[in-house]
Amino acid sequence: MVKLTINNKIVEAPDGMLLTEAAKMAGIEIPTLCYHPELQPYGGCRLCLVRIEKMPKLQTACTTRVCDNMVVTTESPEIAKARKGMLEFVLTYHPLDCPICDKGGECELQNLVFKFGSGFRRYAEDIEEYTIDTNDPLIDRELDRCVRCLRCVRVCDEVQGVTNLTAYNRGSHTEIGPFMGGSIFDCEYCGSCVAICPVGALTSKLFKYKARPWQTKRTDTICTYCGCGCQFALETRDGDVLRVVTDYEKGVNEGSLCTRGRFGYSFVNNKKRLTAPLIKTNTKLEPTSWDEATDIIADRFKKIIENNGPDAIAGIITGHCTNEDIYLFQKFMRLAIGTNNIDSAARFGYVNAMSAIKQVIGSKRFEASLDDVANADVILSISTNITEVNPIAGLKVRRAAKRGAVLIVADVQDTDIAKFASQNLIIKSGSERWFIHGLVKAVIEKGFYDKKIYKDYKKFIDNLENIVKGLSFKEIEEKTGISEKDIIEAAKAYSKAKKGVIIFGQGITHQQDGYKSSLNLLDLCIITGNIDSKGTAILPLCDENNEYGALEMGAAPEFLSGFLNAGAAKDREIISKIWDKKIPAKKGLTMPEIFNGILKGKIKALYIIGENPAGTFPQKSEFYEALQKLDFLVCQDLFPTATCELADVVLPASSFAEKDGTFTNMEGRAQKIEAAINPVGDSRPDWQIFSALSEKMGYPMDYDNADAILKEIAQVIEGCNSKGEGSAIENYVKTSVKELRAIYERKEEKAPAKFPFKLMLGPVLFHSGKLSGYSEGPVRILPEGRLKINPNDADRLGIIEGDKALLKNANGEVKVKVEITDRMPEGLLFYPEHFMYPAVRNLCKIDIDKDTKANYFKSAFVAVERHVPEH
Amino acid sequence: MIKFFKTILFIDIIMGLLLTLKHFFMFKGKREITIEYPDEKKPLPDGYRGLLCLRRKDDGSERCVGCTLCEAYCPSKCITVVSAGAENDPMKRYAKFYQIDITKCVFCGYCVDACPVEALAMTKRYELSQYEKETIVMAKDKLLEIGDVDYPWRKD
Repeated sequence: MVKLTINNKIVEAPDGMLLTEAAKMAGIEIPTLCYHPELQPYGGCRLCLVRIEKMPKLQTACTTRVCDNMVVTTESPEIAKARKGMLEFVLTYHPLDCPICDKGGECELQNLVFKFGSGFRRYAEDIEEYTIDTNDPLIDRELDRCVRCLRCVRVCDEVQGVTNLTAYNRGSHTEIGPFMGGSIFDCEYCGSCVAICPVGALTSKLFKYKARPWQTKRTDTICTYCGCGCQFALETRDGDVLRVVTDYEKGVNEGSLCTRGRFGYSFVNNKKRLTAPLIKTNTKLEPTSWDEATDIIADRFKKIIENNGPDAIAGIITGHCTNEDIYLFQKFMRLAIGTNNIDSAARFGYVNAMSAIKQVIGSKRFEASLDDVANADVILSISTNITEVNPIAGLKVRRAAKRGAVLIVADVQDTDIAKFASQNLIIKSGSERWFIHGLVKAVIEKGFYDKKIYKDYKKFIDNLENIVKGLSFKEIEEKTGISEKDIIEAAKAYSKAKKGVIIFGQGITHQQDGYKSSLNLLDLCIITGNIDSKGTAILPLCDENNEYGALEMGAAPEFLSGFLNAGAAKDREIISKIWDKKIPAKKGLTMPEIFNGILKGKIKALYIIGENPAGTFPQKSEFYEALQKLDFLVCQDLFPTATCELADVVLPASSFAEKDGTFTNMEGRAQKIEAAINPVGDSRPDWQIFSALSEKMGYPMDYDNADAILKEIAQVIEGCNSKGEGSAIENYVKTSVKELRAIYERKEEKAPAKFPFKLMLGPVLFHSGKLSGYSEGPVRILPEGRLKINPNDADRLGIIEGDKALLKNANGEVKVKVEITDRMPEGLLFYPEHFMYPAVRNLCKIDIDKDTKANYFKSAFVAVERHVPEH
Repeated sequence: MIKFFKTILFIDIIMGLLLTLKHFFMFKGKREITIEYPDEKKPLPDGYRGLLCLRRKDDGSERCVGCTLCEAYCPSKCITVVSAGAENDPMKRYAKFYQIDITKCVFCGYCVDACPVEALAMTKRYELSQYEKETIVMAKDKLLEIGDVDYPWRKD
């Protein structure tokens, strides 16, 4: 701490703090324009001039660091004159078109001139005029208004790590634009430059001229796209969501957002939203009243329970619902209907990671936070294109790597994050397990394991050694394409880490043996001692925002609320006591089992919330057929989907902007969302629908609001904690060699000779789930899916950029547009899973995990040829 | 004593009535005080703050750019503006919806002061009573119509 005097006030500030910050702390305002707390000092605008004693001229406060006995004056006629002059200087080129400018009302320059400026300029020469650039799909550039603070350039480089924006030309001719020239930004479209621009030089096309900042209502809420759980505020006016804004110090994202969060909000007011309940009459869906719709559902459910028992009804809920919705849904299914046949979107893969973590770490909530990632010294990122799937988590990795952390990236393709990596390992698709086992082998055989852990868990490590002995580095190299040296180097770096973090994504969880791979990664954590000390973490990424919540609330046949085991009578007892009704003991069915049950005629009715199996399952699969066989299908969704067309009753649900509740992100952090607008049309928040249905089913669950449900959830979770935890790791390390051997099983998939290419479906940066397709922003950037292919492969097939390729396998054929990129290795194709048409998903077949019954349909072997258009 | 006589002889009342009598015999036109309103109208001073209107430029296009400063400044919150970008020229800002609720308006003229493009102006119209309230909740087309009459723009 140092003591300095600002305006005769003695201020104490930490050594090395910037003068602007120290003054702000003391409640003294120094005007700034180019300074931003998130960015490095720059000193470009020279508005923050102050007088520091013993210094010859006025000094910029935003680049001067405080030191002992400094005497600073921030207000004097001399400084006021300097400020006035600087502002006039800034205004020489700035057009005074505030009435039209979109920034009017929140413009920092406007505020500064109002407060300190003269509002008058002497400069009378012609000024350079720039053409207004409106070619970019999302960002308008009006360089006339630019004040050359370079905040946008700096945020792009320092915070986002994208370095797409740059300033070219010199002096007053400086222009801001994409590094590659042209007027299309063609970047990650995080929108940080738009948010940070102090004037109206960079503006969002989506918000353009819609409203003034004082006309909008601001509601703090949580993003609904991915598992990061970023905090932002929705600005609304008269029931329209107009834009998304952030505060730089708030939430896990600290003000940063990705393109989906920043520009993907307009699905809320999409005209295609369902606005009234629909019932099927003579094969056509017709609008009806809520009363009638719920009556029909209750009647049919009651009849089916009477004839076939409660287990003939099943429910599937999406991971985009709030905790309150999911909790009430599983309570509705378990008590009002009386079945454990309930599952969620986590079954597509996230359940693998969570089950593994639950088994090894125990029923307590695992504590891996994004802060741990940002502060880690070694990060091992496996099978995830993190900057695209969970961009904000990717940002934390970037930040850590920029700070000097060792980043080891292993993925089947060359990812964006790899440019920050000290080791970029491109492994062959399907060989992830070999790679992980190689790491375990390297740690054990080279003696990298933690010495203390070895003392405690000697037997476990010996067992592991026995198992990995059979696997040679030669075989690993053959399978993965990674040399022994690289694997040992990676294993060494990770095991020497004080704060080691493992991040793994869809390439592990959404693939065959995802559960076992997750356990293998946890083994790696255990033997290197990176399991429960502070700062270490293992973080499975999830792509729906509340998948964690879906599992924690108990929307899975094997879990009750609070990750209690539904199979254990003791655990059921705990929840039954709070609910005052017995939970059915019969084991419930998971998602693939539900669909199998429908085919066998065991399941008669299905209640689907927010999921669209008819649109996401491959059409040739049995699961798709199963949907047609149902006696009664209820669909509850925001938009009319393919599944809604098959449904007997369709209920309109409210989106995240229209309801209260909580989302739990992938760190396990529950965050509150707030209704920003009234429900669109006749739609209702999901929990209200369950509440209304339960009343008609004869088991009323009446809550005043979402908070009342949250209170009950808190009670239930507290009940779970009272159970007392055994040490799960102690139990886990007692796993016998035989079981371990099963966990370390590797299955090789061989490409059939006829279909040599491996096709992968996965998430992309601009789209996530199906909602982004209804939002204007993401659709403008990426309107259609493109098949990514390696240039060598494309050459061989005679395909050039813009061509269409014909993908073929036993399940059918699809024509898709091609994007040639050297990010893909040879023999591998990638297609964004978001796009329903062309229906590339139809080429895949559904695999079911033996351990967790997770269903995967993200990969297929195909043949590719150039599609010759017919003339 | 004088007070007593004054009281019993109604002096004060008679004095008052005399004034009335004086005015009763005063000739019309000489020192006129009453203006017979519907037939006769008082000349209004310049700067009289009457009904608001929207003006056009000389080429006939609207002056209003939809900056919403009038809405922000209005003390009685009677103005509603929804701005938008013009469809053919996305960089042109205009008011998609403009409404002044005259029932709430206090005719302070702040909105006219606030308007940076001189699109809003005050006319000298003041006879605004209507049978239906909705008729004096004025939307953009009506305000422009009034402006066209009271502030005619030069047709080329």
